[in-house]
Amino acid sequence: MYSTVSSRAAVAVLASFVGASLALAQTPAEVTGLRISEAENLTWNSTINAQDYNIYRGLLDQLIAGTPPRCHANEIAVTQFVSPDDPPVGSAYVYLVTAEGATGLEGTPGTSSAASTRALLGRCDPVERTQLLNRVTYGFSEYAKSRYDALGWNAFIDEQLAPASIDESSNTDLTTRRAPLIPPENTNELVGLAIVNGTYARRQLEQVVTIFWVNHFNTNYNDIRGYFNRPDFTDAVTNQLTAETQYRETEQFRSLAFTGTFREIVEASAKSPAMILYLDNDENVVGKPNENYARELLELHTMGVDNGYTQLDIEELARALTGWNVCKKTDANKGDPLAACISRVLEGTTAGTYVSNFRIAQHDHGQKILFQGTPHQVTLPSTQSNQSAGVNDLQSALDAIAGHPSTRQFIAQKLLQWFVQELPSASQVAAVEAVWLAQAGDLREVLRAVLLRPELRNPDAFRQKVRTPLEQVLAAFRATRGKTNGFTTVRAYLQRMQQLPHQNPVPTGYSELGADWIDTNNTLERQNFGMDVTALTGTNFGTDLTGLMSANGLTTASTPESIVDFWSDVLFGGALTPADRQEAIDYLKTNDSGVLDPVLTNARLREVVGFMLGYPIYQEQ
Amino acid sequence: MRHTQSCDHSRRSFLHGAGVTLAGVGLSSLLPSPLIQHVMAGTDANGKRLLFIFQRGACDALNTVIPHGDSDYSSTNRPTLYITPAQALNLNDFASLHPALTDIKSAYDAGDLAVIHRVGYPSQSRSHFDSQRIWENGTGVASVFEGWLYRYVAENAVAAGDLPVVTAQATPPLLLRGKERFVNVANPDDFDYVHQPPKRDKYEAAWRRRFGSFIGLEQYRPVLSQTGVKLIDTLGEYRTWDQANWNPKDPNSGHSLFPVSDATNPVDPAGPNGKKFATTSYPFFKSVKLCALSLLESDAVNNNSTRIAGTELNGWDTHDNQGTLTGEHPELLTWLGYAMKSLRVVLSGAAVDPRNYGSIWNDTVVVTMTEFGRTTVENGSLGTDHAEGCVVFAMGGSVNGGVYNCDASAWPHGVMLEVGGRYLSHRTDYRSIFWELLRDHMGANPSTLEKVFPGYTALGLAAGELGLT
Repeated sequence: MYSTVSSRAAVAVLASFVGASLALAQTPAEVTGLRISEAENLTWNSTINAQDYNIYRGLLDQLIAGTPPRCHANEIAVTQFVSPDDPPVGSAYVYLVTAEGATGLEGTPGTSSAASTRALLGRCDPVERTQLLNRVTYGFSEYAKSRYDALGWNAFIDEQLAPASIDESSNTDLTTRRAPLIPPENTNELVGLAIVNGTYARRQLEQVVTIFWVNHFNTNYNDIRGYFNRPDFTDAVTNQLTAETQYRETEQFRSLAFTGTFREIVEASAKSPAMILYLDNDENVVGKPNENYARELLELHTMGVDNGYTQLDIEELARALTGWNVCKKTDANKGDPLAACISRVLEGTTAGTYVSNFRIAQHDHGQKILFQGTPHQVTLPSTQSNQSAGVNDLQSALDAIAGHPSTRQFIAQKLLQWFVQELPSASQVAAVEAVWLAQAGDLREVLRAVLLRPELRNPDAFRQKVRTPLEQVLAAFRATRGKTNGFTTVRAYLQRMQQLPHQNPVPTGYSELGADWIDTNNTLERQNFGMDVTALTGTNFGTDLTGLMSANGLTTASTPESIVDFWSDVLFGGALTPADRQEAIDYLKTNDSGVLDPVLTNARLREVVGFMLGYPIYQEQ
Repeated sequence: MRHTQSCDHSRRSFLHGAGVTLAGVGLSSLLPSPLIQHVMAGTDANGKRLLFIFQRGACDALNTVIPHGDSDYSSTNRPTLYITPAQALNLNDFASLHPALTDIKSAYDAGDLAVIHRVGYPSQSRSHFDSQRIWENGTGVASVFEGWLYRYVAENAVAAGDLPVVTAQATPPLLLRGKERFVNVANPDDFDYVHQPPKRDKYEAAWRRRFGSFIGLEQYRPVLSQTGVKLIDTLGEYRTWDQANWNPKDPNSGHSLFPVSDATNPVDPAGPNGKKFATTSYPFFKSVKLCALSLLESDAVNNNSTRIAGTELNGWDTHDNQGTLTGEHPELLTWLGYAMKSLRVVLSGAAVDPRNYGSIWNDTVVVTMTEFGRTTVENGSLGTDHAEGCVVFAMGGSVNGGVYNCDASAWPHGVMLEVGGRYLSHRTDYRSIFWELLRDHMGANPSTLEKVFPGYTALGLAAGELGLT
């Protein structure tokens, strides 16, 4: 063990002295902006049994205020480290180094002058594990933890990138709860599927990425339902057909996310009945274009707002996309957009599927030019003399758009924002774009490039994002041996938290920026959810906290400290300040009236977990 | 202070009336201005209140305040969406209100309602999301994620109470986004902790004790902590409002002013399910009701001092089947109109209500916003696409009612297709409306205004738009 405090505090005194010693006619103002401009070069003695070293770093003023140093660099193999940046103006960094043995056992950070073990804001290994599980999965679960501990960072990512290699047949929590929801017969079952998959699936990344694409190509159940709401259909049929269109696109995204290219997934969305109906492309016909889908396809799905296209491109693209709508076709015909539809009056009694359909007579067969006057200009020739070829305009337009550099830039940026950090740097985006180019837009390889970014593993990125409501409730279920059927109580919470999957009214999808999710309503609902779910033990909505604790040797006879430390590890990777930890201990030690009562009950054990789920840090990831 | 000015003065005619030079901006708040009757800046501004309603999705301005005086508003350009002068409510022999807005006609006739047409900003974005952001950040560019109304509140510390701002919508608007959070209530009937005292008290005390200092290296930790403390601070006051049991009624019709349930939804044999409004309107009316209540509860006795309240109404993106006299767009107008009429009744102390709140009508301005208007020419789907100039309503006892920017002098033939051959051009920058509202109603001083709308005053744009030159 070797610890060091930088010499900045001493320098600060010196500089202040210089300022005060300038005894001119007027007393000078306080010296500000004081800092050391050179990065700190740390060295320490080689330590017996050490395989590598962990560097912890804190800010002097925060250390005084009670926030100890936190993991700064993990698994440094040499006895030297150059800290890469300067402290904020007016503050100083404090460094602390621990040694780690071959089996991952970490040495002591030493004792303070007050003779207590020096505090750390979580040890590097569990904090790092928490980061990966929060970003690549829906958070800590006993299974995910065991896989991470067995595989480590990179191999865990690799395993998750190959979902077919992960066995779900023995995962009875998932299979028994999912069975009644497939295929979903209404929107509640479709939402329930997202909750059950997110909570129980071992193929976590598959589910996270599926929701990413569902969100990216947002469609809204309530808008689509109007199409299926017919006098000759019962409500149950209308609900089932609407949910089915969204379910089918969801499952297409799930598959293509690991086996397809961006070009393929954007076409799947463009031809999805749900999208055609949601953004009115069924209304977009020759001579009467409707720009809604064309605009959002460029702005939201591919290139990004005002990123290399013009109003003229929207109009030309809208023309290229004319003629498509939705109808029911027999299973023999459903793959052919030019094949005949089942007549409307027979839909209720003829077997088949609602699919995209191309109407030659409603297509604008004139020539269209995209990205005119740019290096990416593409001409879609007139199809007046060969009108059935008009069906290919969609393909040609998507080729041009998906191949445009703005598209790979925008999608790379959005993936990085989802998984790594809110505002990825241009160089990060460029690195992912390079993989996109090299791999011809292969989505799995692009995703791998995102997940293997060093920024994801940089402790500076930890806890710098905010969980969305869906992420918050799924993480809480997963960490607590949670029980959900996908409906009971949890759906109402998500609705009040403003994030029901498949039901976002605006085509942007739900925001991935933390600031959009922080308000009194969301805080209240998140706190209530934590208290509610931990208080209950039922199988449809509840937790099995006592089971999880007893499996880890904890009971009402254990010390409050050991119970809180266990949950601190599970929920936060141990990254609680001493004061945050103590508050939970005090909470556990007192009865409902806040009076000290050392006899612990299971109800109070559950309640303190609910309390901790309401901590600000639990909204972070 | 009901105000009776002729209803046909345009921005231009007002420009002449003001007669202030640009150099006199510092003094201009002492002078009357077009939209708002003047308030002595810095005096008695504490009681002034603002209530906003954001019409998200871009409301079709041309079928809201209809420019019948321009032949480009025609059945040629709008084959199915055209509304005849006889069907509409005449305002000034040039502009007419959509008949679905009949509920706000009385406010207009009383001089309490300003109808401002052709509102926008330079280099208009026709993306919903960018344009909403621009309306809400007050800068003219989409990349700023801080609200102009937040900056106003932060600059002024509007009041010392716990609740200077209350919003009632799904998630808080960018308009009020900043370093700290104010209160947002998305579900008024569920806005409380699941636990009852004493457990609730234990929870609140522990949370406040632990997270009362807003520190942390994580970028969101301070605001997460502040939001939680704000929540706990708010709930005690919120419980006393007992919003669920507040049901003020219209003195003439006897109808509930806020139809938030089947029981409070007026009977109407021609309406959906025999009621005046569809059940889908209830969340909106619930939100408007909470906004009104928060402003009424804002008095010297209570410590909440709410000065700014607001909500939103979604669904204006009518690309298809917009509806002419009935349908999507007209239905939303009936909700908006009824809500505005109800606000006028209840905020002027005229409601039948055992609580007997006094009038705050002269201290309150109700204002609407929407990100842009819609295409002059109907599209092929019986709807309209994204365009530019839009309509803003401003209503209150201190508003100079009338039609702005929609008469022969402010609306020359050609403006409806002026931008790109497709879009109604704007004549008034949205910032000038709110600039004026903050200055002459809320009493903001010039340095505050410069921070709220950076560069706007300095460029002389505000002065020009307001007619101060």
